[in-house]
Amino acid sequence: MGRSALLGLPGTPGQIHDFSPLISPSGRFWTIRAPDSTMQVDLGRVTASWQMKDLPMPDAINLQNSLAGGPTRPGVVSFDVRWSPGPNQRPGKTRDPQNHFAVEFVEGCEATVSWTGRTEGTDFISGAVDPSRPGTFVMLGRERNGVFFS
Amino acid sequence: MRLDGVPVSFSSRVGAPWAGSSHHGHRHLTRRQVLQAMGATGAAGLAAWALRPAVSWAASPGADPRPIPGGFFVAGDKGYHVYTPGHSNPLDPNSPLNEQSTITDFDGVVGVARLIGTGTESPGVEGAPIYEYDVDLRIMQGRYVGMDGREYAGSFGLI
Repeated sequence: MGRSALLGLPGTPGQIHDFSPLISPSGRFWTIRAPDSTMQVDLGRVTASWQMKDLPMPDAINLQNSLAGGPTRPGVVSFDVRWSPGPNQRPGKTRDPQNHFAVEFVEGCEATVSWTGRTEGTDFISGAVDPSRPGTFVMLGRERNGVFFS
Repeated sequence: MRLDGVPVSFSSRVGAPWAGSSHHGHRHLTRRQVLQAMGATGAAGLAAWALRPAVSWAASPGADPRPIPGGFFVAGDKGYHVYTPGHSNPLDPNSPLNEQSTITDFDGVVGVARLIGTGTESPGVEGAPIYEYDVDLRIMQGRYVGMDGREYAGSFGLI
């Protein structure tokens, strides 16, 4: 699920931020249009990046609110996420005729993120990513779905 | 992503009866299981492999894209047109990849960075609390058919 959430310390109750775009009326999930210039991709080199600065973003505080479409409070986020080759990367391929999508990809490549989330009175700045954490997933690939699936 | 305690289930098509696809089973997962599923990526030491360079698409404004038809259900709630990052079987890194794009009628680059780390509010302040955070950032850049039925090129990101 697309979200950039800030959570309490492990073992403590309560998520304190959940910055995500709201679901569009058509059902598009937490997905925004981005200026092309903010994304750089070179699949051959297994590199990509996406930078957004001072992007207005609702803070639903927790996932339940975010899935429900609110309530939210105003927020602003900036981030820089970068993909790069990694020693444990491996290729993969999935073709799903039932769901009409096919993807060729490299998974296990590396990624870093620099993230700032700001709401009134708070200013969160991310630190280092821990790639050993369960749940980490990084991939880069090419997908064809819907009418482009064959 | 902290999802504990909320049962979710997966369907190949939001709003349609489950068809028992190989992609998703008739099962309810706890949010922790979803989290665990997200950690099932393999790290086999295969030789580095490079994807074919992507076609370069010209940028142009266009109509909004359609969401993917599939997604997940939260029990007792509506469906959501998104799949979790990673593979369809959380315990098998060789299982099919979940669809990672959130837009359909799409042909292009998809990138997923689901990352977990720590950070702080009040950086630089002694004793400032440290928090755990996670992000699921995805990029989609390529051509797509918009809701008006016309083809466009564009860049989209899941936050």
